[in-house]
Amino acid sequence: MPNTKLDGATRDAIESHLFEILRSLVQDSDVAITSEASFEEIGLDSVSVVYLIGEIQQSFGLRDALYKALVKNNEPLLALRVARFAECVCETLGVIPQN
Amino acid sequence: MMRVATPPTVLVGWDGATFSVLDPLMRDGTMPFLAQFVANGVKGVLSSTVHPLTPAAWTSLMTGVSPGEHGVFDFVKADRREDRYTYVLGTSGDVASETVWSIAARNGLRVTCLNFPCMFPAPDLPGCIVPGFVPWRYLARAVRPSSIYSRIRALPGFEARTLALDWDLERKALQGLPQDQYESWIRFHMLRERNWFEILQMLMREEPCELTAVLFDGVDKLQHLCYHLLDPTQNERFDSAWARQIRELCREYFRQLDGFLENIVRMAGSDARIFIASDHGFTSAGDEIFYANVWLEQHGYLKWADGVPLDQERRLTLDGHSGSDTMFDWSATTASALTASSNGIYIRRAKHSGAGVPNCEYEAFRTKLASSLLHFTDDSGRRVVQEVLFQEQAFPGKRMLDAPDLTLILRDRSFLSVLRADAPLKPRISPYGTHHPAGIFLASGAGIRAGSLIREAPIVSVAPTLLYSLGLPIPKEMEGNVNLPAFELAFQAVNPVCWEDRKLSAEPQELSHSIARDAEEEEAVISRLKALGYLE
Repeated sequence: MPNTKLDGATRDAIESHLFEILRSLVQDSDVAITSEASFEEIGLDSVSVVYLIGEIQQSFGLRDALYKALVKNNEPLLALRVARFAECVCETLGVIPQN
Repeated sequence: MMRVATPPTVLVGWDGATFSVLDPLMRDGTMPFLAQFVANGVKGVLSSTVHPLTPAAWTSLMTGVSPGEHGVFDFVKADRREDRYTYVLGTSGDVASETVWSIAARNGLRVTCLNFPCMFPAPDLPGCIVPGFVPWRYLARAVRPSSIYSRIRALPGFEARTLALDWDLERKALQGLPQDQYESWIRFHMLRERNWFEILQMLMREEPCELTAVLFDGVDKLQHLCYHLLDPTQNERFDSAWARQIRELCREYFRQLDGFLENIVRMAGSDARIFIASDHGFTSAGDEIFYANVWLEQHGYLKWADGVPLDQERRLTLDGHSGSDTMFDWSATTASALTASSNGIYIRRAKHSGAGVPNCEYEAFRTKLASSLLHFTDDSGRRVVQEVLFQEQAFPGKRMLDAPDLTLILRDRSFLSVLRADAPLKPRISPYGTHHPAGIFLASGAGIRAGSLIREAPIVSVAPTLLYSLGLPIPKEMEGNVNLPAFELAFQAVNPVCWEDRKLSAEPQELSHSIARDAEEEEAVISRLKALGYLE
């Protein structure tokens, strides 16, 4: 059941937070971070993606729920697109999907 | 400059350091300061965890409890919730016991902690933490407090790519290198250690703490490839011009390490206590590699997935990003070795699909499997597997169910291979060093006995010993005791060991089946976003 408190503004805030983390990780490269870019295209390695998941989980007290949500479809983590990752974070946090 | 309130305690970690290498280097003058350190202090064997592996052993050193209690068994954490077993890299969230850093901090002391595993994401403690085993892109975000990173980056010669860990590169190198790459590999680690030393030096000068700890991990990396060159008993066997050149380069590495130690001791001051410890020792691996999953296949426990190639390079594990779980046909696999590092066999328990070992058959299954492994012999009739330990034997404790079902101790203490081959036992291409349980413990400084050999102590004794050195009470749940023989009797007389009843359990980020979020947790998400500046 989605949480009514975690509304669109919260979702935007979460996405902004993710984008800022990603920008900090690739700050020395010219790569553009877009919603449709995959982690691999941005230039992350698989360990960095695991650490990104760990940071988000720690930050929001998610234990391993985000990791579990991401791997349940057997998608390679490096192939994940930023938008899909953000969506997964929001889903795990119980944020209402945007229409 | 800030001052520390109590005499500083410094822990210098040398990953994989062993007396079989250090003693000759002290004797031949390569490590003169270490020789002096030993003469002025105490020296003893530090026995590692049952399976002597870096993340499990350092976590035992940091927490004072064994892996069955702290829950770290490997570089990765196995996930056995689904029919198909997978794994993910371990993080600080997997550590189920309080660390010595955290205990010192909650007692009002400041802590510097550099390059230790299982420290990412780092806790917010007074002092400075740079976690180890962090990819270079993540380094800036990993440092606590984050403001320290700009000062680290400004240090002479600092290079994030050198300081951080490239897992792919490490994995590849540790499986063997062509001879022409040994020199650059050793020089890379000399540069890397220098980067860590520069950070330590800056922090000891500008942010002094009561507890300072640094881990130099190049010792392990060198010894995996060069143990046979460092072991004097093998000098005659390996005496080519190339071997002599690489041996001298290894000595240069240890000479540098000796210089770092001298500087650390000087910076710490005359009232400090300095401890040196390793997570495990080293020895030569035998001449053969045990391909555990090949053996399991031959005995009907495992089926390879279509198209899994035969290993032709005597590797232990896959390169790149594929997990070993992708190599198996899970519909017909009941037991598998998931990682080379754990030497563990995971038994697949029956779940929803019905495939796997039913609970009622588990005991008989693992007993039969263990017995068969122990009966596996080479062509000369010698056993390959020296010992097979069940979870409760290798890793007793509240977290033991997260450990592999079986842990193998091979006759030469080497690591197994998870790859596919045309036989379960294949000759090794190059000499290789492997982990041994006998690590090192050394101490020197104010209140430390001089010139003494002390009895062997378990790795779980280091955390209580550090707390004792800091004058702090020791949680009764710690398994180890203070290594009192290291301290002068006069020091002990005025510094009795104090204990506290406080629980050691940290809140591990357990593998959860669902997250039930209540209103309080949701408020916490919003608060966190506000704190980050994303919400008004």
